[in-house]
Amino acid sequence: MQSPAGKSGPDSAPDSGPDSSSKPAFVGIAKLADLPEGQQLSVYVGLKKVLLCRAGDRVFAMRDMCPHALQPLLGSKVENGVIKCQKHGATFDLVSGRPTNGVTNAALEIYAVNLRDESIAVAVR
Amino acid sequence: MAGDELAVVRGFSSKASPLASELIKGDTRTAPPGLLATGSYVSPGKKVPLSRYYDRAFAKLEQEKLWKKVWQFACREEDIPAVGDRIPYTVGETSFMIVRTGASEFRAFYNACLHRGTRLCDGLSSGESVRCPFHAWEWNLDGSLKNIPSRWDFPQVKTSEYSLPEAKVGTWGGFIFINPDLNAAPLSASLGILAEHFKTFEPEQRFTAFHISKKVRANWKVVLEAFLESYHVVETHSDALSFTGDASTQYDIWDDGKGHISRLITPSAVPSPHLGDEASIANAVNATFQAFALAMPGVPVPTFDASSQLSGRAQVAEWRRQMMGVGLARDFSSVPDASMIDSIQYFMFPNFCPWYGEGLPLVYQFLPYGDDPNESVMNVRLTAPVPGGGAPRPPSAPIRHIGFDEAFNTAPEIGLLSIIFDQDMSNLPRIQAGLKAAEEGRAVTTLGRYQEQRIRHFHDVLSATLGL
Repeated sequence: MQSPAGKSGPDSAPDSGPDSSSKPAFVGIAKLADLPEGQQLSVYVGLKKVLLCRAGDRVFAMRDMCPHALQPLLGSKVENGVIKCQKHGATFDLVSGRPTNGVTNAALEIYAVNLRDESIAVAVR
Repeated sequence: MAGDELAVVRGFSSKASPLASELIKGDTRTAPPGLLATGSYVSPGKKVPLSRYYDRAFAKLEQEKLWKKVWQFACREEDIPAVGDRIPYTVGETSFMIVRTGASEFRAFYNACLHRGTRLCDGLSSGESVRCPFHAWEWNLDGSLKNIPSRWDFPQVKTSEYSLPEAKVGTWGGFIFINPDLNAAPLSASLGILAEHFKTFEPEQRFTAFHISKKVRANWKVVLEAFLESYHVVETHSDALSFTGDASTQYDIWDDGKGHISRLITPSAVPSPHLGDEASIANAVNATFQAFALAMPGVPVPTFDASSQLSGRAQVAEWRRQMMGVGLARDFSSVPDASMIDSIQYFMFPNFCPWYGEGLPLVYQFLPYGDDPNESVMNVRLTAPVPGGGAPRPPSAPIRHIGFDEAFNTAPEIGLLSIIFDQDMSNLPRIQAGLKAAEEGRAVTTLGRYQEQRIRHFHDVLSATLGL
């Protein structure tokens, strides 16, 4: 989920995730250089741990907690826009957060990402 | 029982994470005798049939032979601070109204009107009498009948025979217990070693800082047993492994035939032994500093000092002593390290878990809910020391009710603890569903010899209580 460069702030973010009603602010939480292709980073934002996953030229941000058994997702496989929890196998669409198999009916919290000046800003709800 | 003759291994340690008993011996202050005491009970190790958790006949048996016959934790004295205050204690379909009837006097009345059975107390309330909302039958606080409207229409009612029926009441450490069996021995016998072990902790000098009542879609024993061992940390709370001595936890049981008590001590500020001999103590200490600091927003968070003469545990404990001492105007200088930082949880049969020390000063209460063995209520409190320096006793926190389908994270007052509870809660309906699906020949539990011995003990006592 990558916002076009030059746009900033929740008002101008067209893709601020499945729930854009609360309009959270973008906060820079990492540098793009710290997240090489194919890698992941888990960063505390307040009391929430946010997982950043880089796949090609895209950066996905989500809560680092699988909603199935509330376990960390860091280290789980990302493929074709889907993350598969390494613990019990729940899979989630990285754009909508919706589960894509039957392990859980609960959705993964997905956050809008804004890449600007080599910085990764995330709108954590 | 195959395998039960094998030796019990009393925990698993690593170079970075010794057993709890060794950590406590190495702490900066000598622990009180209770903390150093070890239990001697060994369970015969009978397997537990899974039907115990869902069979309605078993639940009925519990209602008759357990809940109507044993001392059980009902509430705290500070829940009903003024004379006339009352609060319900509901266990399955049975309900009592706990009333403060004097400065230090409490009574427990059956929570049902003697007229047509209406429940008399729905929640925390107060008054000079007890009055039924249906027809205004009314009782004095001592349970004697005060008034019946249209008294002329009840010539068969003798005032002396219409006092509210009572259960026995006992108190210890600010906790109020009841026993519906009027022939029961006094509470003190059922407390076992609790009074001695908690002497220096002074639970009577504490107040309820938060109070959650959570409905759970699982049998009350499933919920209780999820909290009697640290064996589940490695999977259920894997994000706590870096600072939790799960496999190095110490378990003890004391049972003299009347008091049925068990305890676990899970060390903090050490890495899980599962993480290996080279796991980082610095990381463990820093994570523990951060976890405790969450309750004190704005306070600078220390980090592990490798050059200090103090161990990492002792560094966290000393910082906690200073922070809590300033915050509460009380002296914690003599409190041992383990009592400042570790998770020390006692259990008194059948439904009461008072935690010991400032590490995690919780109180758990587990209760069946209505007549459905698939549902229960877990009540959780955090207690805090009453401030010193002549400050008034803070009021008890109101009860926050969390429904079956609501999460602990709807209670902002409990902070990051909510994640831990929600991780536990996510397992419970799954357990309740799975144990009914077991193949008939395997519909029994397989319990660990050491880490799950408190569950074995609980079922030993439950079986004896139910006459099984």
